[in-house]
Amino acid sequence: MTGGRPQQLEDLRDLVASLEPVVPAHERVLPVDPAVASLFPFGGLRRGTTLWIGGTAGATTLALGLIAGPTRQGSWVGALSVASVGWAAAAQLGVDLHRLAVVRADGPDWTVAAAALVDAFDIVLFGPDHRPARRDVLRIAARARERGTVVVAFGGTEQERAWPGSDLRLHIQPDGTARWHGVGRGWGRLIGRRLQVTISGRHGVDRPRVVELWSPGPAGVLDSPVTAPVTAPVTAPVDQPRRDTARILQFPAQPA
Amino acid sequence: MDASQQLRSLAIEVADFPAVATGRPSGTPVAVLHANRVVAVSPTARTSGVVPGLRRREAQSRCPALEIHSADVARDARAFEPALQSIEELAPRIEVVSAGRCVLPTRGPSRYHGGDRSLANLIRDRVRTALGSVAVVGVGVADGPRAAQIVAAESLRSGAPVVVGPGATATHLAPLPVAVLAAVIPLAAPTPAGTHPPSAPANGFADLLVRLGIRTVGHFAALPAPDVSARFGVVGRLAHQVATGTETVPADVVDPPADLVVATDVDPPIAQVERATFVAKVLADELADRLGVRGLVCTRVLVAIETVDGERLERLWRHEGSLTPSAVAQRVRWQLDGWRRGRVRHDDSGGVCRMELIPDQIVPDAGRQLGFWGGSDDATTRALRALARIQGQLGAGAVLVPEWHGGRAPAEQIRLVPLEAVDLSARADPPNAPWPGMIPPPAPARIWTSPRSVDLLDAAGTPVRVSGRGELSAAPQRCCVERGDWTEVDAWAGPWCSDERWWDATGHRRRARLQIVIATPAGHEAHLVTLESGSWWLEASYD
Repeated sequence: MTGGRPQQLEDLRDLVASLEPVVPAHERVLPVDPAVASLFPFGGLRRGTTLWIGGTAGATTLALGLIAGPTRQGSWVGALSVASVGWAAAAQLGVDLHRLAVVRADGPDWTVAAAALVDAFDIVLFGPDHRPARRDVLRIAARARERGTVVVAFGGTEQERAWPGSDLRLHIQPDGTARWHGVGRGWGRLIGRRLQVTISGRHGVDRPRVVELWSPGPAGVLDSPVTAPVTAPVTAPVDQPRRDTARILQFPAQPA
Repeated sequence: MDASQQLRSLAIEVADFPAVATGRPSGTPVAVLHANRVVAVSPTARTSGVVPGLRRREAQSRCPALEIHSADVARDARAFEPALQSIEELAPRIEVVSAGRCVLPTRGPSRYHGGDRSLANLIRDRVRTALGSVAVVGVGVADGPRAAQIVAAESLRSGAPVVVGPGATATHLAPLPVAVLAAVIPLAAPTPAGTHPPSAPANGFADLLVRLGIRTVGHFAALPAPDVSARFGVVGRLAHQVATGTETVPADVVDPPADLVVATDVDPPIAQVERATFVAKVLADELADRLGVRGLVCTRVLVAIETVDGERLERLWRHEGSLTPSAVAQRVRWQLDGWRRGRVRHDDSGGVCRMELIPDQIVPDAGRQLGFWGGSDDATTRALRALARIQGQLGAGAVLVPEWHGGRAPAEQIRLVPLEAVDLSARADPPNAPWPGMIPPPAPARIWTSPRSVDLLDAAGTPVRVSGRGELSAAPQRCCVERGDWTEVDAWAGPWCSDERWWDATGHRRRARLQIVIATPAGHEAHLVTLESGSWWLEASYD
């Protein structure tokens, strides 16, 4: 009797797995704003995946802009270690602040809070104020995969190996291409910024590509002036420092 | 036994309880403010001319030595707990109206302690001893809990307990102005979850009566009851019953069925208030669910807590309107806080091993359905449960939600407030009031929590200044953050000058803000730098 039970349980599990309806990948996607949908292989934030956004400057705006679409569609965002984020900017980028909760936790409490958020929220936003150990990051990713939560981590650079093992990595190019528009020497005001983002990752991104973006755009939200993906020269795979080489990029000199 | 006999009540009122609850010595002038208005003052401050209703500045000008405290319902509730404990031995079933005000039925206790007057004297002495000499305590006995509250307020002025004989309530109240009725009857909608101190009762009802030529309670009592009901509805009927001394338990109050009592045994016993509050929230949710399916709301709940030492702590909590689960949990928290403070003195700290919520008065739900967070969907329910769990583990202050606030500086426009302080069913929308001097959008995505000093030099190497007329002394050429590497300033815009709270000696701030774009090897970086008192600092970055 007791010997048969584990086998029975195993059979039942197989049965349950075979009966569960298969959900196509595109149905498990939280849709982002249309202007930035082309950044993602599935047109949005895929449930159960980890997205990392990094670079020397610009990661915060990009991360807030990407969660804006899902919050307006009713997804809840739990944010952790984000003490320095300006939430007024988030509101201007289109984030529905009524769907956002911020948790303050550090030290041993951090993992407790992270686990609770990943279990229940649609999106969990991890800020740059706390750099978790590699072990914790992997554990969070595994839990998110199981619960269908999207983990969005931002901050840090590729060289610092921030958030190892993430499914999709958006890295803001550190080669002097980021430009602010609308401001001069004593006139105007900041209106928009153009960035180049390298997209690399595991699923649906066979080779890294570079996309140019307004982050934020003149309308205050993320916008894509040039959506044509430009193939970058072969770079090092994910999780390894990039060997920066001369790149062949052709972009219009002036913004659209 | 007639109904008025049954409802004979004793009311206790402590004058300016929020000021007493601050715990300052009696000689100190203290004022408690809510929303920039004085809500309570200490006797010393009152002699200097500070009265409730004044603005902060006016109060300070009348009494420069005035100590200002902000209103805190939880502090008030904690401070009132010792007084409740001291009278609990004399009379059971004390009903807390608000901090500093409570009502209890006198039938049994009066008989035991030798009459209403000796009970009133005894209770007044106990409360005074418990709260210290600062407190002015009024005690009143009359037919009906609301009439007793009016009499207790009268007793505050005379200083001695006022006992109105059975059946004499209507005659005793007759010469008083009708405004006293408005003070004891909830006319305005109750504040959500008791997060804010109750505002002064809307006295539109009393105003209307005065305009109709009805100036005293006696005049009002002389009106025929059906006419009052027809003209003023439930409120009028209630007020008329108070005025005539015929207060009864509302007819629609039903005896709660036994299966509405929710209880849980806590194992292992809980020693932290945070965790006990979390348990209470779960219990209150369950109670709300059970009441909800029957279409009932609870207006009075008995919270009973048992400890491992075999002690049982019971307290009745009343809320005009309905008690939401978060409001119940908050009251349990106050109860435990106050009780633990009392225990510390007795050198005893047993954990909580059982908790019961007994709905004491339930009424049919007339409109406002008990929902924890308003109309909520599945994702919201899941998210809020997780947040409650985090609060239970890390403390109530760990979970914050953004609230619109308005302001010029990027950090002022949205504030993070604890989840408990927000009514999630009625969230504030972004204000559309203009803020002259506000930095135009986009707002900076990162706001530095600790200021970092910035050196901003012009081409000649001298620091850049902003004149009183809001002009830069010279074009900024290069800058460095916290004595780091110098970088060229590529572009700049501004300055945006603000001169805030110039009328306030301590809160006055003059600032000028500048958007600067610096060229780094990685590309443009934009920052918001602020000049204040002659030095620049990095306020925020357009990250």
